[in-house]
Amino acid sequence: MHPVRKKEGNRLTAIMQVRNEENRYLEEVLGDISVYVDDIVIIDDASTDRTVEICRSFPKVKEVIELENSHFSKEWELRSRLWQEACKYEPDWLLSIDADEVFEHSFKEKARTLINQDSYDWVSFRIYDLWGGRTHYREDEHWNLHKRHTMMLVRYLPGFPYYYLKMNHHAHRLSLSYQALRGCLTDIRVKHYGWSGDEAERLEKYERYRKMDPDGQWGHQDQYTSILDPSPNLIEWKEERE
Amino acid sequence: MPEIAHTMPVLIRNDEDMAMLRECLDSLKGSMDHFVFYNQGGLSNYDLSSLIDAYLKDFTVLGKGTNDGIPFARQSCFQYIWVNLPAMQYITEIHPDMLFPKDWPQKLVEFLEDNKEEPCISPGILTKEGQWHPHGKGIFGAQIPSRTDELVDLLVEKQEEKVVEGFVHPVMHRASCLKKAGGYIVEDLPGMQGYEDDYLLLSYYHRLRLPENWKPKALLSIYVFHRTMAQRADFSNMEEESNKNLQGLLKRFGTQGIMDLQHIHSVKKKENIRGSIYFFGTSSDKDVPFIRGVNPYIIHSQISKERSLDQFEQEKASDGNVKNIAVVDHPYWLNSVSKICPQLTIARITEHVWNPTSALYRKGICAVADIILTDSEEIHWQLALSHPFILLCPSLNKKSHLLNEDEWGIYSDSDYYLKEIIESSFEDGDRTETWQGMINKQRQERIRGLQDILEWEPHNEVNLSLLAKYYYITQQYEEAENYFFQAFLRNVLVHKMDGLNRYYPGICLAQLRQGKTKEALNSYGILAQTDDMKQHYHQLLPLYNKEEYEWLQAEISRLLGDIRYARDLIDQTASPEADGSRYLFYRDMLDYKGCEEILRKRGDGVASAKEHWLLQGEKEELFGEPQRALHHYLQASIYEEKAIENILRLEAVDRFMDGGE
Repeated sequence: MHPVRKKEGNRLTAIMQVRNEENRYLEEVLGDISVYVDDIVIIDDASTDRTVEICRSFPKVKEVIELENSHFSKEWELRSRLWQEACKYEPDWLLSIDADEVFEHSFKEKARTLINQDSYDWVSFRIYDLWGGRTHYREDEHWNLHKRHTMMLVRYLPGFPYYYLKMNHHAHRLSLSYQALRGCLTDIRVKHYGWSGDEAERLEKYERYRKMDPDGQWGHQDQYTSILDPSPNLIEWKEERE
Repeated sequence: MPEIAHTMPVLIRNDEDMAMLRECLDSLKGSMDHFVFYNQGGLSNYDLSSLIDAYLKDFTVLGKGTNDGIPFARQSCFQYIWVNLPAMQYITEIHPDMLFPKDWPQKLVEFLEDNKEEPCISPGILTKEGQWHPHGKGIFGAQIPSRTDELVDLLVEKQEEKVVEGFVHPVMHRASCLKKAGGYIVEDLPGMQGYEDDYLLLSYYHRLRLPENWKPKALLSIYVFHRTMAQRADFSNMEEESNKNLQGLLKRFGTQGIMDLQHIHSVKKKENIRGSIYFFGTSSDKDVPFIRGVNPYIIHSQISKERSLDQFEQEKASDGNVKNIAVVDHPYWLNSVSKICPQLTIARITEHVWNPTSALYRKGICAVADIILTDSEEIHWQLALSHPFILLCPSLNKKSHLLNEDEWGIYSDSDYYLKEIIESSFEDGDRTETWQGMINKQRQERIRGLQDILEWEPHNEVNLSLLAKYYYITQQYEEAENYFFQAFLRNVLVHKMDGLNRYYPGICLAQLRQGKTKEALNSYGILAQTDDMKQHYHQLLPLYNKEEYEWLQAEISRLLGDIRYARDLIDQTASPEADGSRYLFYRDMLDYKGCEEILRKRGDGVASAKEHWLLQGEKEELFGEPQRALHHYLQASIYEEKAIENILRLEAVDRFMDGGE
């Protein structure tokens, strides 16, 4: 029997949920994480394009769970299922990453240090919403995720209960129960490309949000409206010094 | 014949009351004494007067037909007599549910004429259950004839020229004494009923400065039939009413009054003394519940301890059959408790004494206690894991209401349990069966209560965790695990940060008890966030891999507090390598003999020497001679300076005994 917390030899498993990601950032993201993770478990939410094929083309992808019917309107179920599927491999650490997120370079160097310890069970990062390209991120009252810490990396603890709030959209990416454990807050940055497309793409996303959450039950109406802001406050993204 | 006034509150609720009153009046028919009635309701004053008029010549009806309570009614009668009939030499308290033999007051008057120092006298009474009070209480000695004339014949037949100690109604007061004592001062007795008799006796005792050994008396050369205390059944909130009067009594006479009452009501006959109960507490201002045939002693300081221990020696010498019972309210009394060699030790552990400084003594008192009472559900949970008999008594810190034997039924839960525990120890048979019955009943009721509450409030973290704990201590481990997890998740959802330490020990223990050793070890690993626990966890992993499951389970149980289970498991562990664990168990359980045996096997060495002196010190400190403990601790401090802390503890206990803490 192995200890629940190891100081060395920890494997890192990335978990990702995807849906119709063919012409977006999937290949780039999978290529990037393949550099520093040991394996990848993906859940495909009933894609109708080549998403699954792309996923399977990466050798570190251990399994792609293909859902026949989309869980898009019940995101918490999708997150929960992905967690269960990944845990059946009894991983050491799980990195919850979306198909449009890329860690800055330093994470690749620090990842092993962050997981080969027995003092904390989760690590959080700062996620930046790159806006209208990859040179700037947005920062205003509605777009300030980077000012908080987002838990993305957790240690798998056998028997530890996982719990997701039943949020149909904007569900927590990892189980809330990890809040009871000791964690580590880092300033390592994550680039979120979800808003880095052109205006037409943002309009399409805006309409999708309005449709899926017309009453602002799962998010803020003001934030949805602000997607269309013609002149948002943008700050230049500076890559870290290597 | 001297002037006598009889007082009688009358409450007519039904035909039966009416019939009793008629019979009562009929038995008094022809009396030349004056009667003062107080109309408590059921009849108009006119109707009541018309009724009485058929039997008695000289009477007055007071009141307006409202039930103003017994103390108020009686006092109104007294005041009427004091003002309007000042020549009255004797005043009685009689009831409408009584039957009187002819000329019944005469012998009572004679007694008071002959015994000028006595403020009052009761006759003997026969109850409808066939008991002769006050001397034959609890003994069913008579068949009650159905015919009134035969009943009166029986009352006369049983008369004997004897005076016994005890107090019953009816009672005849010397009017001058009653007036001096003040009667029932209604400001002190605002309740409808309860404690007024005790109040009046205490008034006599204190205001008339009666001799220290005075007790009320009953004259058995006259008997009265007393059916029942009819009016008592008329209050649904009897306890509340009673408590109002109790508070007044306490206000007037203080807790000394309660001690005096115990003396006043105590039974003189030597053969009725069944035991001595020693209350080891923190203050002389302590309410002591009355338990028939048991002499109470309050020990709250070094001086009171020595006085009580002298008393103990005397009683031991005079009667070896008297049982000694220790009720210990503070663990620092542990050493003194052992000096009275109690046959029954009851520890009362409140939140007040649940602090780290008293931990060793607390462990000690729990080790010697036959049964523990506590006011805290958290303490109840923790101690239930290490002691077989523990009862929850939320009112443990509250005033005791158990004043005299007439008042059974009006007491707090802690007094109830105390009485039951003590009574069971006087009975033949296995007293622990009685205790287990009480414990099981209490726990099952609590589980049902929590289940009901959770139906309405399913996400209440506190109740979820309480239910988990009750399931655990009633050996429903699967349910316990489930509810511990629910409480944990609830804790997480409200963004509290203490869920792991609060609930994971319970989860882990519940898994162990279900034989889910691997899961339990993982849970223990998750819980192990401190360096000490991590180190311990890494010591346990090889045990699992070597399939030393009992040893492993014992270690986790011990660390997480399920000492009883841990002890069972470690006893099943044959491996000599487990001696290290075994030693820690014995140490935890204050099993000094077991510890010494293991130390002997270890042989000489600095660590063994230090442990030896520490063990000797603790043993003497807790159960032997504290002065010798000092010497042992000094020896231990040669090896480790930290041993000096034990001496500081000794000093703290000394200060406590001197009343300094």
